[in-house]
Amino acid sequence: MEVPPPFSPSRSPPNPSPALSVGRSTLCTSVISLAAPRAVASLPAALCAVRLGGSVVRAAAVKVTLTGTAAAAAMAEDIRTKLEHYKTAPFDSRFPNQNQTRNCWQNYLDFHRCEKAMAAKGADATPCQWYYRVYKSICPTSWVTTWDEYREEGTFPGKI
Amino acid sequence: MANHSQLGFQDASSPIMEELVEFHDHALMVALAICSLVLYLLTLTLMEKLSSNTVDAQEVELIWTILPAIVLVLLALPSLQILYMMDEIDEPDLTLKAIGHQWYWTYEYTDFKDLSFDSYMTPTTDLPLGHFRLLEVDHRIVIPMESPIRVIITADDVLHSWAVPALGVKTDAIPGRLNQTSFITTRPGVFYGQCSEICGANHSYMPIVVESTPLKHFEAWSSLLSS
Repeated sequence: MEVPPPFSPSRSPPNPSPALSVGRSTLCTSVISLAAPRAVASLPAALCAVRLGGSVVRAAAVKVTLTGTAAAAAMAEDIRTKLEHYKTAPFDSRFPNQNQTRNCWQNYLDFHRCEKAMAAKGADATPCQWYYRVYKSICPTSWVTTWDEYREEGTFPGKI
Repeated sequence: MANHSQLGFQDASSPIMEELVEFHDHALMVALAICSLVLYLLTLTLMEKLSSNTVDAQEVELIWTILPAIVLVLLALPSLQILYMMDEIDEPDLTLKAIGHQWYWTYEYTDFKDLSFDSYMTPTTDLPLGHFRLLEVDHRIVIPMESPIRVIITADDVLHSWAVPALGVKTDAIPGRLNQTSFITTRPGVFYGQCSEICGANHSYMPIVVESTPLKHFEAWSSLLSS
């Protein structure tokens, strides 16, 4: 089975764990990172759209300032809710076109990077399940099996 | 499926196919009008009824520039509208993976459990009475009707193409690449297609069958598959 060639150069994420970006709404300006517990998230007084892998979770907003840990807990709760209601991989605006190869690859990478980062911190790896569900939905099983073998052998072309 | 000596499209069973059929009818009328005009002018020319002023013909030149431009716009607008409509991805309810091999398809439903099966053509010698030659398969794709379905198409070895004419879907299966398409079936039924990219000796013998059923039957089928 031909697997996609490694994309080069693999970009390492800005920090070891994936950043969950708060975007789209002009009122949300902070980037909340699970790996940066000292970050402070401000949720201005309006509906604030949180984008995770293309899905939008709306957090009803009042003017609240949360500490990094509380924000991370809220985010983890949001992800758990999304995982409970998961049907299939939602539309991801990073990959709007017909070619979804990169979508599969990126979610596979993100899951394993997330797991590695959470394990390094000793944190709960449950939020990483989102990436797992998405790549399971999109990636052919044979590709996943091959990549898992490469990782065990140490010949996996991606940067985890 | 197509009937014997059928010239037209199969009955549209998805909104996109309905649009394509309408556009085809519209484009055919435009083509008929142009052909009629050309035939008429040709007849006049052969009967030497058309004068030919080779020096001053600005009016007719204006007409035969503007009119074709209008005709092209009349063709391009609905065409582009449908093209963009085909690329709209509503939030799908289900993701189905179709992997082409020489010479069969593998289908995977991995949103929840790892459901996977191969789909081989039923040989004519094993075909039950009344079934369709070279179109039936041993395991059909079952999907819930009236639900947006995302299909991810790829291939394991050489180029194939996953096509179901009644749903207006045809997408190449390319090794190392995941091509996404989507459709909604407007009614329950069984829809047939055939591999649409030459892939070797048995290219004609790896059909596709999509069975669209109400959701509860789909759930029953998937429970059966996973057990």
